[in-house]
Amino acid sequence: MQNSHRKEHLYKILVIGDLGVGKTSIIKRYVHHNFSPNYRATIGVDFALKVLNWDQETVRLQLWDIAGQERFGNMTRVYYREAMGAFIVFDVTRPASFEAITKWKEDLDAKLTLANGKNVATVLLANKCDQGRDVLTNNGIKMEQFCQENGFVGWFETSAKENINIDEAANCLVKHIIASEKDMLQSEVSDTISPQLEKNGGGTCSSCFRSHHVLHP
Amino acid sequence: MDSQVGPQVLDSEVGPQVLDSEVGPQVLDSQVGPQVLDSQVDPQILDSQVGLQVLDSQNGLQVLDSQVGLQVLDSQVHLPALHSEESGDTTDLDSVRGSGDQSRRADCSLPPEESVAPPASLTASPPGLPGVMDGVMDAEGRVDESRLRTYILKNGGVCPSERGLAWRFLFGVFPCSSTAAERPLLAQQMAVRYQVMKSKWRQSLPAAVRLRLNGTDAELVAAVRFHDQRQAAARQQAEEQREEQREEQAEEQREQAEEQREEQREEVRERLSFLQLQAQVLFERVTFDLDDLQEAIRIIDKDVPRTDRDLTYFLGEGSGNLLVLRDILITYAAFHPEVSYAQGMNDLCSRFLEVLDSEVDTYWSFSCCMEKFSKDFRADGLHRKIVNELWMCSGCEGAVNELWMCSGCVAELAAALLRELDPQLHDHLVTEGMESFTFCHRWLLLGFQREFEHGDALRLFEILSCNHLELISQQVDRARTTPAPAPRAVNAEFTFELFICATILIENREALLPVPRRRTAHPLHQQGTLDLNSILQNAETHFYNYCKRCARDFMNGCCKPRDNKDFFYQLRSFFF
Repeated sequence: MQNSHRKEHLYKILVIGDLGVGKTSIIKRYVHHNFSPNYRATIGVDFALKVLNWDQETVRLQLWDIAGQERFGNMTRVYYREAMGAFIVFDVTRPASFEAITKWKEDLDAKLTLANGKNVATVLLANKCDQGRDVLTNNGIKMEQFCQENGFVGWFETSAKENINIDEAANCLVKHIIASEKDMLQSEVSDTISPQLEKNGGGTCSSCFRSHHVLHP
Repeated sequence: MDSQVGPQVLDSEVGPQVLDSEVGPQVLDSQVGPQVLDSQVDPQILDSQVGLQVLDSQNGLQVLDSQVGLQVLDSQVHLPALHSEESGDTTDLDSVRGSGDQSRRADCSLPPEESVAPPASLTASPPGLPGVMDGVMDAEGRVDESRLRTYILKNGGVCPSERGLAWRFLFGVFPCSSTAAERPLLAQQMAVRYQVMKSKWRQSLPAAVRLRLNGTDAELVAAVRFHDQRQAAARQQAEEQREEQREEQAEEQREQAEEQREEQREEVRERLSFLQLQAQVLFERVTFDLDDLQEAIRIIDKDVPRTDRDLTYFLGEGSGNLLVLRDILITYAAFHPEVSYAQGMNDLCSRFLEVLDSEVDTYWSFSCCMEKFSKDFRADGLHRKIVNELWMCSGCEGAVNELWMCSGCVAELAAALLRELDPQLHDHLVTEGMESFTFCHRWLLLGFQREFEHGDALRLFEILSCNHLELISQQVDRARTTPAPAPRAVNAEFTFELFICATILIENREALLPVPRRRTAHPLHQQGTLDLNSILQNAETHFYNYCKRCARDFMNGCCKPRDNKDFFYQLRSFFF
């Protein structure tokens, strides 16, 4: 483990949510630093890789951009496999996409758990915040409550177009992934990995949960 | 629903006999005059004049390309007003079809805004170029389907100027068995039916007639404007045509044949109102689940602007075509509730619209194509396509189209094929956790549309739609098994499509093998960068070698076939 060269991590991260909420745009912004108003609809799944320097270590994020149409739902089990974290995205200008959030979260938790039986770290993204905040208006506190009730480790208002909060959201997710990975390593006995189902009493960091909400009063 | 609307049924309902004997010739006679009719009836005239054909009609000399000639006659039949304008342009297939559309617009007394888009261009390609339709159409204009498919495979597709015509047969807008005399009537029926279908959902959901704009996409706003302008122009044109016809009529009144003409015009009108009545009766019983349809429209409205707008066809004023695409997709979703709309259909349909440049023909070819594809687009179909559920249709052996439909559904087979062709690469992908072959998903669903440069993607789509290699593998099998049926030597489920998949993987072997997964996002995540010619060649070689190996294994393994030499000879002859 303690090699002389930099330690590398590879994490598979899912980006899910209703169609047209901006999943592909967020990934393009995050990985390629650009934005185009007319991407093509994602069919099946697309992939992108983001490399981060993280505390003297290298973190590679393999981002899985999953098509938003509900009817492809059967496929999600295949796509979710071995993911370590997820973004669930909705469009702040379209309430229906917010309502779909719980469906996506339930689908994710039902089909994917970590080796220790826990759910993967999931961050909620309220995208297109440059276009209005219909869904969020006077809703800040409720959002935090919503996240806690639904098992999100944090939420961010983002804009792929204006590059708002995307790096921050990714950092938050990575922090939680690393925490949950440590958590799993600790539960490792000698050289066999056995899933530990004991409760770990809310060991996840809640700091990033609060620190990023400059936008709401 | 499918079976009621499908062109196959068009066939049987308005069977050729009816067209030929009752309606067809009279209509031809009435509008184009006896000379033209004669030339159609007499195959010798058409046969003998390969290349250019000169017809003496009322409007003076018209130079017709022999291959398209019959098509051109179609448009003449309905469009006397356009004769003089078009006499020089008659070889351009799209304009030929396009004018057919215009004629339908003029004839079908439907409101002008219901009519189809006018052709993007009326400019002609040089006449008399030999092409795919040479030797594929017989004197009456019937198409030899197997020769058409063979041509497409052997030549790696047809040239772009002939694509429109070839696709109309390849994708079943017109049955290959239809004659040139029947096609205008079929076309008319399809146009009437489509317009009735489109008005039906428009009446049910008036709010959805127009695309809702959120104002942030200036290009889309312009697209709507172009579309509206075009429809206004079409309306005006139709009005002018009607005016012209009225004038013509007044003039003709002085002519001797007037009485007879009037009678026949009456017949045309009667036929049209019959077609409309028939269509209305056909679709009267159809009811929509408005919630489902509205949801489909919402997704269509999301996806239509996300169609590849960089294509020339959708650029500038062409962006109005996005709205045409929208109408086609909604009409399809409304009348195929079991399929409705699925993401990716916009890409598939836009290909047809671009090639055929006709709203009506695009709708029908798209529906035909969806008959094959719809299983993939349905949730369970998609699941089946990827996940370990090897799904086989027992009833489809023998029928090439169905075979393709079934086996094309199984991406699992791509993995199985790769295991046959390159076990090392297959095992590597499996150990790297890619055994579900999710990356093949989009390749298969969209027919590799995004993996190749646009022109190449069209060509490949055309080649794959021929199912020709599948046909060969069946012939190989038949050659081997006649007279006594035996276990298959060749796995007929390995379609050419899957060979393309496997070949892409093998071509990128170097990139896939040594590189651990962590180094790259996905080694095959490269859009529009693959070289079609080399992939095609290699896929064909893989296919040939695979057939050969299977045959040899089979012969070494079990009973010796009667005549090895004969078998290999046949195998080779299928290729060269």
